[in-house]
Amino acid sequence: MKRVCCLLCLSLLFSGCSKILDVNPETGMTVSAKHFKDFKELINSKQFMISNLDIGNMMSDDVLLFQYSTYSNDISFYQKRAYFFMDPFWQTASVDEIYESLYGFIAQCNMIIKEVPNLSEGTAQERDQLIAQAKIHRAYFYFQLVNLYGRNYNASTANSDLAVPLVLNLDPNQLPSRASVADIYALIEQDLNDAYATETLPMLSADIQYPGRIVAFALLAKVHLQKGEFEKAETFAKATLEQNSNLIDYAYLDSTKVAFPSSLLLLSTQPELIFPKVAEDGIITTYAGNLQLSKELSALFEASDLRVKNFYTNMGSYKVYKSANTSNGRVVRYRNSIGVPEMMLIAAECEARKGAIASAMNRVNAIREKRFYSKDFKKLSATTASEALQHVLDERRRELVCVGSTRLFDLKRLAIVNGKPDTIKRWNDNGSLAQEIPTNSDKLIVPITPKVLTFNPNL
Amino acid sequence: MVRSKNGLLRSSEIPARQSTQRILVQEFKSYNLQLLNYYRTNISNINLNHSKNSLYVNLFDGKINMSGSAYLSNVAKVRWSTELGLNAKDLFFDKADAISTFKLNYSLQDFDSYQSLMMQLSLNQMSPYSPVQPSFLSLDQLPPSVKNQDLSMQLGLFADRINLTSRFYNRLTGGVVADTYYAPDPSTGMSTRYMDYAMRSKGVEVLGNFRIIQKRNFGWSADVIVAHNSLTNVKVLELPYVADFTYLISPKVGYSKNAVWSYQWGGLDESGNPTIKTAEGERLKVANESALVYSGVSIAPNTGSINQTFDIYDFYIRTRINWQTGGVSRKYIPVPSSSTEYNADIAKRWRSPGDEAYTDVPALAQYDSQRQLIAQNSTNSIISTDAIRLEEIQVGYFFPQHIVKALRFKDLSTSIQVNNLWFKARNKYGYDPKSVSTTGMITPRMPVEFSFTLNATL
Repeated sequence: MKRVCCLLCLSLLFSGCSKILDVNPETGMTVSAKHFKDFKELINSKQFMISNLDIGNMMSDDVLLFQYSTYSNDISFYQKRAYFFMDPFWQTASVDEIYESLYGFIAQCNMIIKEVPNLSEGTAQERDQLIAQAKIHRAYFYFQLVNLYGRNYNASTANSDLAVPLVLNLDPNQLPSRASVADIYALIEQDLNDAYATETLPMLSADIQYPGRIVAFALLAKVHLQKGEFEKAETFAKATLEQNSNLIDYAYLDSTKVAFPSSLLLLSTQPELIFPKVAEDGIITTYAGNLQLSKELSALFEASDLRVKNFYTNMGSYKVYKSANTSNGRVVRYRNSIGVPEMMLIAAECEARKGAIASAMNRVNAIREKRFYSKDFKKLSATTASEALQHVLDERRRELVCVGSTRLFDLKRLAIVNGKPDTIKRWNDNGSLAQEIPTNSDKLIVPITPKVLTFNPNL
Repeated sequence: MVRSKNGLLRSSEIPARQSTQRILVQEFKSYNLQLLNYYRTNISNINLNHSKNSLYVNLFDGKINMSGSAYLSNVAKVRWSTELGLNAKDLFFDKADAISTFKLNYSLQDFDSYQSLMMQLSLNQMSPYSPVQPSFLSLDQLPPSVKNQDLSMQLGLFADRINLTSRFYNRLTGGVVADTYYAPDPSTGMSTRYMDYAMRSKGVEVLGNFRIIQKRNFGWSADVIVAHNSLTNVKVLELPYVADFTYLISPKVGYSKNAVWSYQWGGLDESGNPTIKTAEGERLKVANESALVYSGVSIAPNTGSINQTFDIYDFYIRTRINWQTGGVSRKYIPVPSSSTEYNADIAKRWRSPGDEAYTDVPALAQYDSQRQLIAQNSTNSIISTDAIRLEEIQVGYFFPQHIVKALRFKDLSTSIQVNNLWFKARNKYGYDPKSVSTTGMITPRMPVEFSFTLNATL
């Protein structure tokens, strides 16, 4: 009898609450993450993939807003303030949702990086993988922050150029000060180096939620390109392309499903994507009606370019970024993913800059071949390095329209690499020039909102 | 599991609280945790061992009672809890027949957060070795410290036909709370920061029970309650000035928790734009800290009620009258713009020069948050919430015993009750303070309710 009782007690003890009470204590709405699976769920964030970064697009020369269509003074229409470089940029009570959401994601990554080493659950290999993945995400978010809210990396001034706070710990009461551009880049590189050095992390991403080492390579290529370190950028771009060199052939593309993804899962069907992201925005369609491509950008496209057919609609003499009616109203979707074409263009730019004209042009033409019907495709050629470079940069503009602020970041870095700034033009509705901003201007830095500055005197 | 050190309650991990929200990501057919907040509380390394030393004193045959307790813990803290009771009737007014009861009582409780925690633990019947976590561990921080003084008096006259009870209390509550006003720096990635706070609640309450007339077929009794309560911020993290609505209701040291601040109204200008006036008399079109003035408290500090009962033969009449004074509210002022506006006062908007003499509703203009802020939160929109209301009248009848017995009941009565019958408010618009939202929007009033009751006991 005693033995039976002991067995009964033991079985009750090990069966847990869920068996006895039909209550699973781990399924509350608000929980305190403590198990390895909780931390895995922290990185399993849809928000990581759909965060909107359009403020950078609005500052670039890729888009055109009409003044008459931007009459609304609604403070949520921050795109207008970004596009017209308005001063003050923010109103007193404005909330910068992009800034806040990026730091929210970073906090999630920080929590994983800080807490997972203390876990005894999961294997050491699984824990290392998760930390490496969190570092990849954190590096991406800081890369966006430092380039949106800071000057471009310039080796001679990066130590003194202040950008945004560099927050690595979890404390809601801290009032951090701005870190230098150099410090933020140092963290980004450290995180990415740590990630690609994590041998237990698979090379290719298992799915679109959990990045593999290839993403660390791709991000390092972007980072070094942004810094003007072309040799390293080329190395990492090529390392990425060794793992994935797939290109989607737009001639056989179902543009409604793949080129303009209506859901995240569709991104997994695109073999050329390395770090999939797609952002949705309804504000621009609400207030401005449409998002037009700038005339300079429109002029770069040939009529037979399938990217035009897939992503834009002709509206009068303007090309308009396609929008779609969804349950959230009419929205545009930005293809913010990092993909094979961008890696090819990074490699091509680096090759062109060192005079490897043929190789650079081969890469450009390889992309273009997949962007035209074969009957329309014409190879581009260059006889000089600068001509090849121009072809690469033009192709970059055509390929990466409104992709994660790439164009704005390009304008900022090229102002340093070229030794002289270009200009961004804004037009009056009658076609006359309204303003011209040099691409090394601090107006291309998104300011921190007045409310945040008031609450944190250290900024 | 998170690696923990020895001991359940002293685990270094327990105090570090992160709260996350688990949401279903339908596209991935999986769950995602989103970090909401993270707080490292100061519970770590506390020792819950303590000793309680109590002393009980009974003097003069129990006419004076005193009890005191000292809580000693090994975090070098000693806190007191004391109670003193005095039967003044028996001690000093033994011969005064008119005084039937006279008691005085004073109590002092002084508990810091640790002792509050201990009390919670003891209430939860926790054994130090229990595998079940006590409820406080689900909190982000320690419970508040409390220092409370309470002085009360009970006076009965004429065989307790008149009974007066008064109470004065002064309570200081402090600790760490989530700050709902002072947002954390967004770079922390958190939604709430924490602050040390202390708040003093103070009040006087007087309760009188009067059995005014007690005849065989007629009785009249009344209960009167009069109270004054205040809630003052002693220690808070004051918000730096921000030109938005939140600042106007955010806590400030030395002011009530329910304080309302306004911009000094400067009237509409000759174009129908709202203006405010700084202390120096300068008229501004945008919100400015120098134009801020204290407007009062949103919850009336003075309240009272009279409940009367008339017994006339088998009938009874009961009435309840409530009143409140000392509070303020806002009247909603529409700001016509491209945004949707439903308020009827939009018809009173400024239309042409000269209208500013008759209206405070600005002209139709492009939406501007600053314009809206000063137009809707200035001194001109402050109204008093002083009001008196006849909350309830009840008329009832107890059926005579012969009818009740004939119907084989023990008791049988019936009544008609009317609620929310009448009110009078001291504001020129006649707004019922119970029906005004924080922005001044009018919500539907409580309707007059009639009810009929038949009460039968078998």
